Amino acid sequence: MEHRLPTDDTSPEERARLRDRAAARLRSITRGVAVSAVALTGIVAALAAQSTHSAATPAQAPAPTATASAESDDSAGTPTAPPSTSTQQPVVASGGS
Amino acid sequence: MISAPLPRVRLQALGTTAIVCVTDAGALDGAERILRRELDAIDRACSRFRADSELVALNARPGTPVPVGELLFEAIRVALSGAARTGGLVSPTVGRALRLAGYDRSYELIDASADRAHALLSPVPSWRRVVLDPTGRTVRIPAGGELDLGATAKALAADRAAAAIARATGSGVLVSLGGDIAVAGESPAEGWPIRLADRHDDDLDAPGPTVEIRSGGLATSSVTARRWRIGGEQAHHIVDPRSGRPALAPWRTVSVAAASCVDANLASTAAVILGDRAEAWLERRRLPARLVAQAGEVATVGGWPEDPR
Repeated sequence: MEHRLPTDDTSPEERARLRDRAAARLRSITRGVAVSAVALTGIVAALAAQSTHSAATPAQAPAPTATASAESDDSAGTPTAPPSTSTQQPVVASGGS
Repeated sequence: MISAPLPRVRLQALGTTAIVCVTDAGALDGAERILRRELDAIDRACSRFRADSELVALNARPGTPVPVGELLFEAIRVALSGAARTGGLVSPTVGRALRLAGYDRSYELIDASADRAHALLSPVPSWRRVVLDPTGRTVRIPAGGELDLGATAKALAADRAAAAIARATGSGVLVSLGGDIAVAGESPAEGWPIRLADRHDDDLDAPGPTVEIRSGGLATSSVTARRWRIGGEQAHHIVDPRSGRPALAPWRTVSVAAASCVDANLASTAAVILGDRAEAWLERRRLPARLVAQAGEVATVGGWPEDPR
C-alpha cells in the first residue's frame, strides 16, 4: 500500500488526495479497534458468566439415590396406586410430629 | 375381616416416635436392630442439635468445601433434589432462618408456652448455591447459610430403614418416623392400614379415616405440631424460603402418598407452604393427597379416597 507524505513539490490536488486517503485509513483503523473492543468485551463477559456459573451451581446435579423415587426433576414420585379406604385396625397414625 | 395385630416395636429417636412393624414375627428383632442402626447413623450425620454431628461441623464452615461422610452427602443430595423438584419451596437452606425464628434446639427443649419477644429474620439463600463435589465428597454451603435437613432426613431414614429391613429379613415392613411412613417388601394381604390424625402420636382410634397402602410412602405435614410463640404470634417449623418466615398455612395437615417417604414428605411440606395453590400443584403431579383446612374441612386430590361419612 502507498504511504506517501506530501512534500514541497506536491500539488494541491495531490495533497488533498493524500489527506483523504489518510483520513479513510484512520477511519478504518478506528472501526477495527471498535470491533475488536466489542469482541473482547463479549469474551470477557462470557468468561465471567462461566466463572459465576461454576461458583453458584452444584458441581453435580443433585439426584436422590437411596429412595424409590425417580430421579428426574419432572418426576413428582407418583405412587403406583393411590391409597384406598381401609376397615382394618390401623397399625400406625400419620399426623403432625 | 379381623386379623391378628401385626408385630411391632416402638421407640424414641430423632426427637419423635419410631415404629417398625413387620409381617413376619420372626423378623421383628432383626428389624429393630436395623432400625436403631439407621436412626443412629442419620442422627450422627444430619442432626442440627447434636454438637458432635457432621451437619453442625459443616454449618460452622460456610464458604469452604468441607469433606463429609457418605450418609450426610447423600442426605444433602436428596434435599437438593427435593428443592429442585419443588421449585425451591422445600429447601435445606432454611437452617439459619429456622434458628433465628426460635427453633434453635431440639424441640423437646423449647418452652412452647413462653413468648419470645421477637424473631430475627434471615433471608434464605438459594439451594442452588450449595455446591456438592462428588469427587472429593465435599459440600460447600454459601456464606451466611446454614442447612437444615428436617424436611427430608427423617423421611430418608424411613426409606433406608424399610429397604434395609426388607432386604435383610425378607419380611414385609412398615417404618414410621413421627408419622412419616415407608413400606417395603410384600405388604399384608389387605395393605398397611394407616390412621390419618392431627398428630402422629394420637391414639389409633382417634377421629380420622384409615387408608391402606401397599408400597412407597405416606407422609403428613402439619403446622399443629412443633409450635412456639414469638411476639404474641404462633410460629412453627415449616419455613417458607421465599419469606424466611414460618409459612402462612391455611391447612392443619396435608397427607400425601408417593413412591417413597421422601417424595411424600417433600410434597406434603410443599403443599403446606403453597397454601391455597396446593391442590392444583398436587393434582398436576398426580399425587394423591388429603388436605385438612384449619377449620376442619377436608379436600382430597389425585385419587385419594374421600373420608367415609
